[in-house]
Amino acid sequence: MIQDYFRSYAVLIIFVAVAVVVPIGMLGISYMASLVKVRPQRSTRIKRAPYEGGMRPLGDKPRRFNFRYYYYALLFVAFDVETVLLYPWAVRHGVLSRQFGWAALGAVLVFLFVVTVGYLYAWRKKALEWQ
Amino acid sequence: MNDAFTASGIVSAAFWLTSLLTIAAAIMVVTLHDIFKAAVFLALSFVGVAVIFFLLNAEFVGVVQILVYVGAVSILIAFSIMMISDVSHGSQPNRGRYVAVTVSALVLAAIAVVAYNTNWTLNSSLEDPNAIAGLTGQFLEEEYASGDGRIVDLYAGDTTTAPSEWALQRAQTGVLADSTPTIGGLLVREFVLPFETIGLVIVASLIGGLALMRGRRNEPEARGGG
Amino acid sequence: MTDGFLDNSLFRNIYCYIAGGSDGCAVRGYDAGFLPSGLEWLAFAITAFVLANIFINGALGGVLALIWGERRILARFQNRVGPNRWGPMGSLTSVADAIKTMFKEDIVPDQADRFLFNLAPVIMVVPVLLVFAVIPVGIGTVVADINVGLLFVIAVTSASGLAIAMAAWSSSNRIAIFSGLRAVALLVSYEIPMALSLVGVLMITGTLSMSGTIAAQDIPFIIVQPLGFLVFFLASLAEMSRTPFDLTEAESELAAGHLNDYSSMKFGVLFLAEWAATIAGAAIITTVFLSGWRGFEPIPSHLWFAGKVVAVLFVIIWIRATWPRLRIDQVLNLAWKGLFELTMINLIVTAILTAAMSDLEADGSMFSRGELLIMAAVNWIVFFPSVYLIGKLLAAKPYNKDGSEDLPDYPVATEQDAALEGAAD
Repeated sequence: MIQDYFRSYAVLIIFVAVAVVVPIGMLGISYMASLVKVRPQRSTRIKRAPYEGGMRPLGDKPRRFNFRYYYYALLFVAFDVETVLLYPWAVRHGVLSRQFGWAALGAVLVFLFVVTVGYLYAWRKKALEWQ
Repeated sequence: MNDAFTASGIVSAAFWLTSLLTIAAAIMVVTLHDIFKAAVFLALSFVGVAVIFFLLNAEFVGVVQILVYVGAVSILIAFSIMMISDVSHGSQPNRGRYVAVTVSALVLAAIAVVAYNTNWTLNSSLEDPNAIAGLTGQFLEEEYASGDGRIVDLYAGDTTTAPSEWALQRAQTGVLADSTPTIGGLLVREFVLPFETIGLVIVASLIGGLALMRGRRNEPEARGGG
Repeated sequence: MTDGFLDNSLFRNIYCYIAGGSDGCAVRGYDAGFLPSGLEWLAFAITAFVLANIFINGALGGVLALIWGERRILARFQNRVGPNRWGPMGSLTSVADAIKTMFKEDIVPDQADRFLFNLAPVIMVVPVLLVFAVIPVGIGTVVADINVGLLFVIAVTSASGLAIAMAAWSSSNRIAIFSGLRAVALLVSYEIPMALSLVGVLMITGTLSMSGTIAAQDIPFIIVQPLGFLVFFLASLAEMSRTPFDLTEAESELAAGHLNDYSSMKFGVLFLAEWAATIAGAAIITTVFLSGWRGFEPIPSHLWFAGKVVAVLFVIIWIRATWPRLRIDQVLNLAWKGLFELTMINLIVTAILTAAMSDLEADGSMFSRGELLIMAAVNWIVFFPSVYLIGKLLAAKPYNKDGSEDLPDYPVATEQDAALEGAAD
């Protein structure tokens, strides 16, 4: 029912609001405690230095990072799109194969085959390897 | 009872609030100097777009918007920011910004014209048979006919002709179908060619990423790197 | 108020207590509530607010209980006593810890980006709490039973990757950034097998809604979908960064990874998000693979659900007590070379079985109990050889370079050592 649809999401939005307020409230109580001097606030320059295991911090912020992390993110986006396309099909798969027999499965198997070729290519080129 | 949720009041208020949030976040994206913060605000405006999808009864598209854009594309952007040196000093003013402003304005105008000229039919006055069938789940060809949860197979051959009686009735009373199975059916039937093409696009992106990585391999190893 | 919404018993009890005069409530035999008719929208908002508070505070209470329980159980595993000072059997220890955390000094590093640094804990905890909104914890006891519940869970939890990147980047600490990058790489790698392992379940249930998933489980899907369960369980362990996949913040070895520079309540909130994610993960596993709140009478459905969640949590703690931590290369190999293929095998086998059994049953359902059993049998037959083969594929190389199987005596004495020893004499 459309009324129920919007009601569900109205409840969900109120839930989001409470879920945002609760952690902010916890941080807020902690902050209040520092205002009434229950929570200590004696900050020094040493305390505010970046924590590197207790040693004196070396150098400044690193500038560039290895590219391999980026490839994992790229793989993630690609296969995320694949997943998103498989979900509605999977929900419908039983009915579709009742109507069209094995042809419906064939269309998806072709899709999976194409993606798997790309996956095997990446494997072959040692892109899935941590170097 | 007087139903406040079908009365368009609250829904349209939610729509305007969300649009305002989305646009504000988008403006922050282009005005902020720190591009990591800009990426976070971009994620916020993606969330706003997802909420608008939810308001349009497109639950599946809304969730996919969160999954792919907030969950995946934002991380890709964050990673690419971490790859670029000197982000902490802020992005430099872009030399081609007047060209960029012109192009963006033209695209915006085109979208506005299309949006203005489109016939946004209300559910209660739908006439296009395909739209009715899609919205009400006639493509689903099965329906909980009795209240006890039994599925009755309504599929009887041809589905692309005029909407059936119950589909029209459902459309007029505003009963909409769960859109996910409809999309699934369409992917394997009407849109099977785009579906396979997306597979090719995925493969292309994998190979493109590999080519980028190949180019980097010859460079000296970046400082640090886990 | 339409009937469909009032079928939610927890919602109905609260709503009809406030606005009993509403037509839906009167039909169900509720007396008039204290709000006059015409203010149903207010009753609705109050009900939703109360429900949200019940679920969120329940989750937070669960976190405190879980921390205490985990410490006690781990202590038993290691033949220790565990926390036993505060409250009976030390049950108030985590409450004391929470209060202590709140009153600790809050340090923000000089070079941190204050805005993102303060925002990251909130962004981290909100998606985890949102998961509890769509999980039915008993018959008709759910905050919002949306049509796309399962995908909603996967979508909102994927936002935590961005939160980790924010936390790491904003502290401007090289250690935090390195471990943050590793944590996000691990997170995104396991999200793919996690999402794909559910595809087999979707083919059987034919719906994305949580209540539909539970309704379809005449036989729990852990039996029908063993491969799907294995992959989903391992991937969710990685998503909630539990042992053996907790290398990004290995408590006993590293400082705290991307949480390195956090202190006081900000650290508390981040910590809370992690433990709440563990409970949420256990709740999702229960709902999707252990048939949720379903059980037999006279034990109430809520107790069934709670019992199953506690059982899953116990297994997770058991794994923590038993298994060593994996290295980053092993972890990523497992995700991309092991679990990914297992999900593909599971997907194709289940798709073929579903297509073969796609006829409608006499009672209108897609699969009869017998068909589910056949599916389970085939899946178990596929399960063992495929896990064995993937294990072979991922098996570590032998330690010895020359390929011989026997391990060297420890400590390894080389000729050089012998020469040095001779020199010392």
